[in-house]
Amino acid sequence: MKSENWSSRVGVILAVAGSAVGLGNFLKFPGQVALYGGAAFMIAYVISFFMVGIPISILEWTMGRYGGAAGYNSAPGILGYVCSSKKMAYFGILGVTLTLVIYCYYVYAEAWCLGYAFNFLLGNLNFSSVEESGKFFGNFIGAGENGSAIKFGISGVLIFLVFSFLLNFWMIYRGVSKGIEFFCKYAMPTLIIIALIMVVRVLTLGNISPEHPDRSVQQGLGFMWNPEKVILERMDQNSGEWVFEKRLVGNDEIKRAEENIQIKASACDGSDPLRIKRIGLGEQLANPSIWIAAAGQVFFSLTIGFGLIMTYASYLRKRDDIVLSSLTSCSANEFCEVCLGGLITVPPAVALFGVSGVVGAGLSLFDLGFKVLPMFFLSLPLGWLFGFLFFILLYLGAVTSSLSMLQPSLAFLEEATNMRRSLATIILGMMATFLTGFVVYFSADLKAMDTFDFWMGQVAIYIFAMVSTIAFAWKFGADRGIKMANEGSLIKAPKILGWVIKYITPAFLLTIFLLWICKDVLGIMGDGKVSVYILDLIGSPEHPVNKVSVVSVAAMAGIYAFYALILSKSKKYDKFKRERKAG
Amino acid sequence: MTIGGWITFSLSVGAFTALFVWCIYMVITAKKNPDDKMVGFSDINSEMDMKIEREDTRVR
Repeated sequence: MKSENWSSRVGVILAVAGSAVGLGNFLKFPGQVALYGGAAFMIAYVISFFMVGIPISILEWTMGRYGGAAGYNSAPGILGYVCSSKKMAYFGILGVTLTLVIYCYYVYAEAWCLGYAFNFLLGNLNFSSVEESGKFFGNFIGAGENGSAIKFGISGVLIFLVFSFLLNFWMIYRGVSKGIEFFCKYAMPTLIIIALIMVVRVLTLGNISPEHPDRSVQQGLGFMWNPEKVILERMDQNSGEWVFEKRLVGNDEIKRAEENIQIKASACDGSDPLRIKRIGLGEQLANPSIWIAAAGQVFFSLTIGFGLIMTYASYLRKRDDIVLSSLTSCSANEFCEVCLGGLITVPPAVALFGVSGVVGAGLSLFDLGFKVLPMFFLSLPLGWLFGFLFFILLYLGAVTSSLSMLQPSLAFLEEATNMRRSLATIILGMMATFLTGFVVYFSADLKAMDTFDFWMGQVAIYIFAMVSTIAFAWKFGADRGIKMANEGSLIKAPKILGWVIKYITPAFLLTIFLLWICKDVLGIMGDGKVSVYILDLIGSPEHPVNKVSVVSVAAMAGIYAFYALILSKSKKYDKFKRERKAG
Repeated sequence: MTIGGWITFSLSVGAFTALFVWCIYMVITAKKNPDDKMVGFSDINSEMDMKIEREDTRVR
C-alpha cells in the first residue's frame, strides 16, 4: 500500500489545528466561562492546558510519528506498535470507534450551521423572540418528533446534511495531502479572517438596546471575565434557605440591587428578603465543578486523546518536527477559543438581552449558537450578512474537525485489509450513513445524538486518553518519548515534560474523570442523582428504559465488534514483537 | 467590567495571542528542511504511482 505524507509543515499544523477548532471554540467555551466565572475558570483552564493539553498533544504526535515510520497509521496499529502488544491494538480500536461515532452526530450539527448560513443569506430568518427562534431551531433539526428531520427543502436540515456528508467523503477520498491538507489550508485562514471581522463588528456595536442602557458589550465582557461572582439571593420563606435569584454584573447593577434591597427592607411588604452574595476566587476554585468543566473544555477542545492526532502525525516523516508543530496547533486552537470565541458570542448576546436574558435563554452550545445569536444578528444593520458569515465560520470549523474524525477509520480499514482507498471510502461511507441516519431519524429531543455524545464523546474519550497516556509514559517510557519527540524538532521539549507526562497528567486526568463520574454520572457527590444516560439503559421506577438509547449503545458496540473482527483476521498486527526487537 | 475583569481578560487574551504569534513566527523563520516541499504520494493513480508499483513488483 502506498504511504502518504503531508506536503509541508504548515499543512500538518493547519490540519491538526483544524481538527481542534470547531463549534466548541466559539459556542461552548464562552458559555462555560460565563457560567463558571472568568478568573477562576481561566486559572483552572490554563493549569489544565499545561498539565493535560500540551503533554497529551506531544505524546500523541510522538506516538503517531513513531508508528507511522513503521507503517501504522491507525490507533490500533500505533498503540500496538508502541506497546508491542496486540492487546493494545484491540484497545486502540476504541479510538477508531469513538471518532467514527462522534463524526456521525457532529456532521449533523455541521449541517445545522450550513443551513443557518444559507437561510441567513436568503433572508429567511425572521424572529421576534428567543422562543420563536427556538421553535424554528427545533423544527429545522427535527427535535419535535422522530423522523421529522427527514424532509427536503431549505427549512429542514436534510439537504445540508447530504451536502456536508458528500463534501467530507470527497475530501477524505482525495487523501491526506490533496484532500484534508488542501481543504484546511484554505479553510483555516478564512475562518480566522471571518472571526476577526466578527470581533471588529462586536467591538464597534455601541448601544443596541436604547431602552436598556445598562446592556452593553462591556457588561457581556464583565459577565464572562469578572473574577468575583456577585449574585442576588432570595430567602425562600417555606424552606428557610437562600436560593439563587440572578447574577449581578458591573458596579451599576450591584448598586441598583443594593438600593432595591434597602427599599424592600424599609417597605416591610412581606415579600421574600433579598441579599447580595459575593463569591470570591478561592471559593470558586474550591468547587470541583469548575475543574471538571475547565479540564474537560481543554481536553475536548484540543481533540487530544481521541486517537485522531496520532493518526495525523503518522503521516509525518521520521525527522519531521513535532514539538513546535504540536505547540503551534494547540496555540492556534487557544487563540480561536480564548481570543476570538471569547469576544464573538456572549458579549453581543448580553448587549441585546442583558445577563438575565442570556442566562434565561441558556448558555449551552445549542442555545447560544442557534437560539440567542440569530436574534442578535437580526437586530443589526446588514444582520443577514453577519449572520451568514458567523455560521459559515462555524461550518468551516466543523468541517475541518469532521474530516479529522473520518481519517482514523479510513486509515484502519486501509491498513488492516490492504484495500484500496476507494473501496475503504465506500465501506466507511456505508457505515457512517447508517449511523448518521440513525441519529437523524431519532431526532426527538436529540436522544440518539446525546447518547452517542455521552458514551463515546465523554466516557470513551477519557478512558482512551488515560490508557494511552499511561501506556506511553510507563510502557514506552516518558523520558525515551521526550527524547524521541525532540528528534528533528525545531524547539526542544524540556526534560521536565517527561516527569509531567509520567506522574502529573495521568493523575490529573484520573482525578477529573473520577470527580466527574462521582458527581455527574453516579450521583455519589452533588445532587445525588444518577445520570439519565445510565437510567436510560437500566431503568428505574421513575425512569423507564429508553429503547433509542439501548439501540444506540448496541450500535456502538457493533461498530467496535466489527473493527475487532477485522483486526483479528488481519496479519498486519501479528508482527509487533518481531518489529520492536529488530528496532 | 471591573478592574479584575480587565486584568483577567487582558492576561488571557494577551498570553494566548502572544503564544500563537510566537509559534507562527518560529514556524515561518525556521530553517527550511530540504524535504519540506516534498509532495506527498498521490492517492489517485498517476504515472509516478505506477512506476513505484512496477519497481516494488520487480524487487519482490
